[in-house]
Amino acid sequence: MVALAAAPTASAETMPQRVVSMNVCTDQLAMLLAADGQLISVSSLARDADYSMLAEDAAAYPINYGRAEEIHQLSPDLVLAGTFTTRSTVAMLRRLGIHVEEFAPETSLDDIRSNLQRMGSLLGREDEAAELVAAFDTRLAGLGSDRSDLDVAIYEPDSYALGPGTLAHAVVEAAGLTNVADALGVTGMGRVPLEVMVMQAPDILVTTDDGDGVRVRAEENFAHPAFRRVAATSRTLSLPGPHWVCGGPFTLDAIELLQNAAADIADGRP
Amino acid sequence: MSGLVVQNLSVRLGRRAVLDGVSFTATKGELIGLVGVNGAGKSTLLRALVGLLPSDGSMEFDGVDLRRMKAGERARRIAYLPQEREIAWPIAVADLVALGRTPHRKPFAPLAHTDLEAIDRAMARMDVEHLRAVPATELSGGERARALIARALAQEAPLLLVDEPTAGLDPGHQIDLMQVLTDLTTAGTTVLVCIHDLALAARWCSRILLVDAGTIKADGLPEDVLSHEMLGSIYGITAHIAEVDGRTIIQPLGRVQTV
Amino acid sequence: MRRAAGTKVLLGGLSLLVLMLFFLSLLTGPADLSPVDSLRVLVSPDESALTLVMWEIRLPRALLGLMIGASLGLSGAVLQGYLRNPLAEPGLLGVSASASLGAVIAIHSGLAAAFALSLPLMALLGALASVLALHLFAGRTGSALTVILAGVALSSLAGAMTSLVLNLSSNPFAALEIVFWMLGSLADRSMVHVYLAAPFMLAGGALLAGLGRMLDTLTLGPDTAASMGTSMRRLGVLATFGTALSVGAAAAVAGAIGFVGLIVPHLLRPLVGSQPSRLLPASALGGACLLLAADVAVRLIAPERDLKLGVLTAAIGAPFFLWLVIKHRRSAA
Repeated sequence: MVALAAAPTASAETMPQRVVSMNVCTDQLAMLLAADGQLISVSSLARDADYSMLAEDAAAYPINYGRAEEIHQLSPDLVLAGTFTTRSTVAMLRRLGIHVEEFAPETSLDDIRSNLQRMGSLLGREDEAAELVAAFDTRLAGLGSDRSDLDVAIYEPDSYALGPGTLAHAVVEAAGLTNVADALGVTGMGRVPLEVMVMQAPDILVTTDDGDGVRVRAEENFAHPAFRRVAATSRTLSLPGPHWVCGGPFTLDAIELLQNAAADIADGRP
Repeated sequence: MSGLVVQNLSVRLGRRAVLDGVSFTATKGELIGLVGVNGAGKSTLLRALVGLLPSDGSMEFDGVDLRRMKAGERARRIAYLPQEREIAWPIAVADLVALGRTPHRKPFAPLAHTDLEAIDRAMARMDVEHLRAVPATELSGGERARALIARALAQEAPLLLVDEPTAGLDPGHQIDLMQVLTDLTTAGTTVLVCIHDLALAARWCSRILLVDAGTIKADGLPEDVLSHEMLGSIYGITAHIAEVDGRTIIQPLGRVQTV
Repeated sequence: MRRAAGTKVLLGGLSLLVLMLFFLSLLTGPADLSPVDSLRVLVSPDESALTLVMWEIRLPRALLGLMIGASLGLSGAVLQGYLRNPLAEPGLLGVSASASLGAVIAIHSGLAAAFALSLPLMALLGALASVLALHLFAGRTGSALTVILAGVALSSLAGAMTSLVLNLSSNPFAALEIVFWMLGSLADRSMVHVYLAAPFMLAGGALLAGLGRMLDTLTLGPDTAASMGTSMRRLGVLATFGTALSVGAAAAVAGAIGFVGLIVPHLLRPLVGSQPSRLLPASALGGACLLLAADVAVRLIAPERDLKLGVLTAAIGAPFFLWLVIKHRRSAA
């Protein structure tokens, strides 16, 4: 992260004019920070509410599908990619002499700060980035850091849970709660079979259920009678996928929701 | 009318008439040999009688229209042994012969005492009792043929249709088989046998139907049908024909020399 | 016949094994539960989480293992008898993959969300289409090779179409599901799936179970079978619909689990004197044993990984299949 942050910075005069983002996380950072007209294209996922918190904002930008040829056609002076973007595409763009900057996905609150700052300096928008980071820290401080002994599970389709090494875990920690997946030895995204989840019966159950019914077999675990019984006894929150995909100022929403749920339980509110 | 009455039976395969207006009767106790060259329609006639081929004309057995019979009912009256000697699975000979009892059994019921008796009778007749437990697929050609015939015998139907049963049998077992068929007719069974071996046909059959190009060219006693003229015109062969102990003996000798 | 007594002993033994494996399946799982308590809550359920796990997760899983295994074993035995081909099997012939395709279409079109029964019905339709296609391409007189080749083509086509549907889905999890539909799993199934699949499997099983005697006569070829009163048309219709119902329902709730219908009839055939009618009940029980055992094994090998059932059955089944091919080639030579 430190090495990446040391990438070249743009001064106001040399600030890039044609920025193309081809990753849903850089899309969101760039949309938050770019000057009018500076960002000329975002990835198609930016408009997909299953991945992007800023799907509505993305409607204002032309989209790309992350193919080297179409990116080249846009004659960008800066391309923003994720470290998970297809390696061959990034390599080809570089061979074509295009300036490509790669961002690793945010897995901690520090990552969010440093990626915001780095994006700011790449776009020549350091001041705006500093403002966003300051606002982020102010709000985070306001959320408090009381630890409670409540535990929480973040459950995805097909019985996957998010553990240490994910942004979700950082959110749970920041909310002062214990991640059940951590106790079960899950790192990253790991399978927690339904029966294990049932036996754990977490105090707070966060699902990524988007509430549109079982549209893919993997979502059947949310409709499973055993899951429903556990969900009925736990405090259940639905925070769909995009909350956990990329970090940003909106990540604080998730922390706040978790803290509110914990406070409700502590105060015996229904 | 008792026995088999066939009138104006025709079978078409595509546009070709494989059988064309065949009529004959077969009464109780007859051993009828169907002879004729390859492709004359002998096997087709048997297959049509069992209902394996769509046909026109009338077929009655003991006054009952064969086409109106249910499959099981027909199977209790007609046993059929095709020329193909397929055995898909290595079932024991006794199990194979027992298949002949299928039309007589109630659904899901085990083999009844009468079934077991019929199976033993059939195996004894075809000399396969000692092979009872041997997988049928491991038999020699002749043993396999006999086991399959035993299956048809176990069906104990009043009408038995057999297609080339003697093929692949040694002379001793050929004679045994023809003797078995004769014994069956004595007991009241009607037997129709497709047979290429004219010597056997002449020696054992009570009557010969000569099939040629989908029609019955001749129908009568072996000595009347299997004449020098007929053998010459139908088969294109010459033969030595003799009579021994009141039985006709035919030994094909060679091709008729075309001038 | 001595064989009949031997078959009874075999069926008794297999039933006992099914029962044991059923309980073993109930007692196996990623959550560390006390066997005594587990069985206690099965008999007298209470409000505990343990009851929930046993009744809503373990029980449906064991029931589905039993039902699906029996369906696949029975279908395999019937298909082999009907096609007179020891290599025939719902998985290899593409019936399972086609059923999976039907199920995938039902879920991804939103049909299954609106109307739950559409899931097994669409799977049934997929299975039916594949069996009819097999008839069309290979026919009942088709050689072993033609049938298998047609099956391979159908499998690939159904697999590709399944991938297509899942790739076109906008849902982020859809692409991950290809593995489930192609290899099958019983992880985290519920009683809903049991209720959804059971009627179809029972109907299919009822159609297939009565075919034994017809298949026996078919041992001597279709002509001889027909002459002994077997209606080839009736046999064909019942075998087709019975297989489609059984395999369709299985694939709808557990994906395409291969090779069960191949291995089981083949292992049991020598024990029942190769008679198709005796092989049917034995294969149903044997299939249940194999699938229950495989499902216990996947949970023991990799408890947290959802190792797909089809991985295990293929790991045993594919080498077995190759061995059969070699044997088949030798006997044909």
